[in-house]
Amino acid sequence: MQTTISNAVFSSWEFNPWVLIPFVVFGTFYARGWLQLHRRDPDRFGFSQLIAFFAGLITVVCALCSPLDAFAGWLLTVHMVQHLLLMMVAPPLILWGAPYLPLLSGLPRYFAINGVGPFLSSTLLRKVARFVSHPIFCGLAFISVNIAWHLPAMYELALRSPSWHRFEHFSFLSTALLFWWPIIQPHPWVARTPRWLIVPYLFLADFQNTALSAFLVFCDRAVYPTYETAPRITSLTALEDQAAAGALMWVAGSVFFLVPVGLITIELLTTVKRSIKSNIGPIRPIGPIPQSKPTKLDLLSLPVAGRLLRWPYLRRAAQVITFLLALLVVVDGLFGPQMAPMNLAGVLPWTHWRGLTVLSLLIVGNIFCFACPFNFARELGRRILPARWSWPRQLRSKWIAIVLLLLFFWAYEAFTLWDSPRSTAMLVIGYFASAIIVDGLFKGASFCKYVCPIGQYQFIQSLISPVEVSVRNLAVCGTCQTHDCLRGNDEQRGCELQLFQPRKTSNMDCTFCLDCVHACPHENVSLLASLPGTQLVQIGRSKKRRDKVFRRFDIAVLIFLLVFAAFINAGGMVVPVQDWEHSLQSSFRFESMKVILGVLYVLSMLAIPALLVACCVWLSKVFGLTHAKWRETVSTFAPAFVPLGFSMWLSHFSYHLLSSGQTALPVIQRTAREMGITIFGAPNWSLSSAMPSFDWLPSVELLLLDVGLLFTLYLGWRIASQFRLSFAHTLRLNAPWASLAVALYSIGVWIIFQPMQMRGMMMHSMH
Amino acid sequence: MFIAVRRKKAARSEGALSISRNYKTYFAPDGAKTATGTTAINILLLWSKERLAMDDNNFLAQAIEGIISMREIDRYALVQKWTFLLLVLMSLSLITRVARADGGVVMCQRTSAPFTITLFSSEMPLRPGPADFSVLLEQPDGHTPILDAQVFMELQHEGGMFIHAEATRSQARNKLLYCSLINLPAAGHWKIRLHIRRSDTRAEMLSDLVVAAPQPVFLSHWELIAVLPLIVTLFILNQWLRRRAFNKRRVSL
Repeated sequence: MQTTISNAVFSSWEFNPWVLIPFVVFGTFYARGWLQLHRRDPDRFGFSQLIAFFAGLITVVCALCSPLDAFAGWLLTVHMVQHLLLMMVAPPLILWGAPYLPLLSGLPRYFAINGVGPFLSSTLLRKVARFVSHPIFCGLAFISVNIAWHLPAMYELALRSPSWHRFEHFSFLSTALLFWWPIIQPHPWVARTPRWLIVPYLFLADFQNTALSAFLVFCDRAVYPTYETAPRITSLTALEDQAAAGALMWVAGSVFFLVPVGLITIELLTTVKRSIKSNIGPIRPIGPIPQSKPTKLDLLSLPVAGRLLRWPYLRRAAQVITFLLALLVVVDGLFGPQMAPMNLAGVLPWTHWRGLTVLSLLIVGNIFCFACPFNFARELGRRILPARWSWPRQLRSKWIAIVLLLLFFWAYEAFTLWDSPRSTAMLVIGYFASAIIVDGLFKGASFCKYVCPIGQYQFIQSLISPVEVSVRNLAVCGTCQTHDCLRGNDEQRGCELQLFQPRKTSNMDCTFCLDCVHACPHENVSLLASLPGTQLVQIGRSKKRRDKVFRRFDIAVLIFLLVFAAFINAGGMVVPVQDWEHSLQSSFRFESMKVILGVLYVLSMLAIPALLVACCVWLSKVFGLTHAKWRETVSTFAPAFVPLGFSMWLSHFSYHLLSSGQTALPVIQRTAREMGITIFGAPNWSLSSAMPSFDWLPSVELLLLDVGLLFTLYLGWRIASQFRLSFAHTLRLNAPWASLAVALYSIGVWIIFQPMQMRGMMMHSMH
Repeated sequence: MFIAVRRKKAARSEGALSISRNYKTYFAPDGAKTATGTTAINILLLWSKERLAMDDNNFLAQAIEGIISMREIDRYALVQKWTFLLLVLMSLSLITRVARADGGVVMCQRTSAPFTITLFSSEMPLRPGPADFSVLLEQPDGHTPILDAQVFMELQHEGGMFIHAEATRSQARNKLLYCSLINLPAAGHWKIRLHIRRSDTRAEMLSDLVVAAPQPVFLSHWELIAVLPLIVTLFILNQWLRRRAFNKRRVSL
């Protein structure tokens, strides 16, 4: 039994991300930096530094993740050991590793120079750092934190609240790092006080430690009531436990303070001064610093995936699959049960397709357009229809798509498309018909470029995507005479959307058809992957690099429409908004909601956004003192809002996918059974009514919105910086747009925490 | 080292190190003192540049010799970028709420033969949402923990709502405890009933539970919201410092 209990005690480890992630982050950066510095200066950055730093980090992990933490609430002695590790053992070890330079050197170069560099070279912050690292401040901080947290009220607070307990540990560790800083003097810190002052410094700390521990040892009552009520798993009473903890603090504390006193005294009494050895070795002259170039991963050159992507029939195969799925949705929508959660048309397009599409946009790219079933249908249609006319010049813009998008968002709520399989099926049929007619009559991919609302959504959101169809080497394009990527050749057609690869700077208007990849005789067009959002950063970085397309007003309107639609579409599902809509309906005595929704959509997607954007333009012109035209200002700042809109779409659709993803299974089982396929078994309808509990989902949604807002603010700043104004004017120029982004973010946060209508599920209850 | 010296003589005599745009070839004087304090930053930043340059040179040399391909260089740089992004995301994930069944505050302790039962909750006061409930079973004599029992929890809201859950040691961090993470749907008065079974022995314990009103959203997820102004402030400060340094440099030139 005793063995079992001790096993249970020693297996009480917890892999707490609050501890382990910083461990991994700091460990990685330190190891990277140490490797660099060790090559240069093995004496100063030797293995002892590496071992000491990691021993310090491991000590912190042991203190916070081991059974010490699990039993700290039951035994004061255990809690004391934990605190001693955090204050006396880990900090000197970490500082012995001279972490300053290795950690900085281990950071990515760009971030070290442009992110951290300005702070480190700031005079003001250097003064603050000098003040904070002064022994008087360090000693006072350590002593006051130590005393404060040992006051019964504070100690009890930490024991009762995990958040406060985490903060207590953080303050112990941080002030202990400060305390040990003047003692260890990690390179390259140089002491500004005489070394002998460290002796009274340590004595003072020891005095405080002795007083505190003596109080715990000699007190005749339990100072911390929690330990009186805590289960006693040892033979010690609460009072004995307290005395033992005090004795431990006294003895161990004194050893840790007095041993350095002895060492420093010996050091001071030694007359031989250490010679400062030059640590800068002979330098080999090397050439100018090469300019770093943007690096992208060439997907087509990957061993297996590359071969698959180059397969000429890949797109057609994907389109056949999605076409068959679309046919199934149409047939089931027209002839299947008219209850949305029981029908493929009620589940697949609204829950799964939308969720998977937005996720694929984040992870890969515009996969939907690549596998578009409507594109497949129009290819079939072109065998009958002539496709001989050019798309009218006056209509070569996004205005038709903008109107169609507006109509769709209104119809989605007004006709409850998500709840009507037949309407969904009709919508899909209408889409097929439009694609066949438009592309059957007009040359090129006019439908995709000028009409398709889904396409426009995909184009705008794919600006976030990591994968882009792009040229490998621009110099090769400079020598090309045929421009097959645009014009095509005898074997392969060129880009139907009229995108000329050397001038293409983003995924805008690109359907990922890979026609240009197959057409290029130099094999210079490929699928290049970089970090998500890189394209937007490029757009925001320089006016010159900005594609002409992002100076167009219709594109700006499309971006703002999709951004506002993200919030309105999600907001339409939350209970307070629905209640408000119903109250409006009853106050105006309308029988149908369609008119109310029509008015609301015109207001919320056209009038209010137009007013807000106009205000932003006016304010930024007034504050920023720019003379740019208002259309130009709108077009310039519009791309900055793409990340915020995308983050809202992503949190909305991924919420549905995660909470209702399982609803596809019973519907597939039903459809299969009706088609005579019995291997999937009987439909398990309970999956359509029960929602899995994801407590972490709101946090993740909020995190996505956070990232979206930060990215939008960053892009806004980058764009404002293009105007080359003073710092204050750049801030003022950007302020109205940043305020608009923050307002939208606040709406998004509000939506996330509202009860939401569970669409596509048996229960129409709210979550 | 990859150090540019703007004024060679002055730099040699003072040991100062600075960056120069005028010199294409970089060198440092032999025996230069180790820079400390402010210059350490410059050295560090230069080291980074040097490191990259040396890496690039090595890579280029190796690429020319055919040891590694340019594709591998690109891949190396991309992996570095992705690693950094991953680390940043991991750090951000810290601020998402993590709930764990793990002891906490003693809610009640009773001896219900043949066990001494202690019920813990993670935080006081309890609020709607995920809450950790933990149970310690001991033999009344000698406080020996019992580790081979089965513990079931039954929570009843004053409105009649029931929640059932099994508390197990596998869910617990402290392996002497039986724990369960229960999502409390509503505030108000609850009753919690523990059913304990150990071979043929059974015991029950009933206790009252008060769940306080939910905190406003901004308080329950304050970390995720508070991190934004912090990052924005740091970014603005960073940009301001960069602009100031740039302007100073321009004036001095």
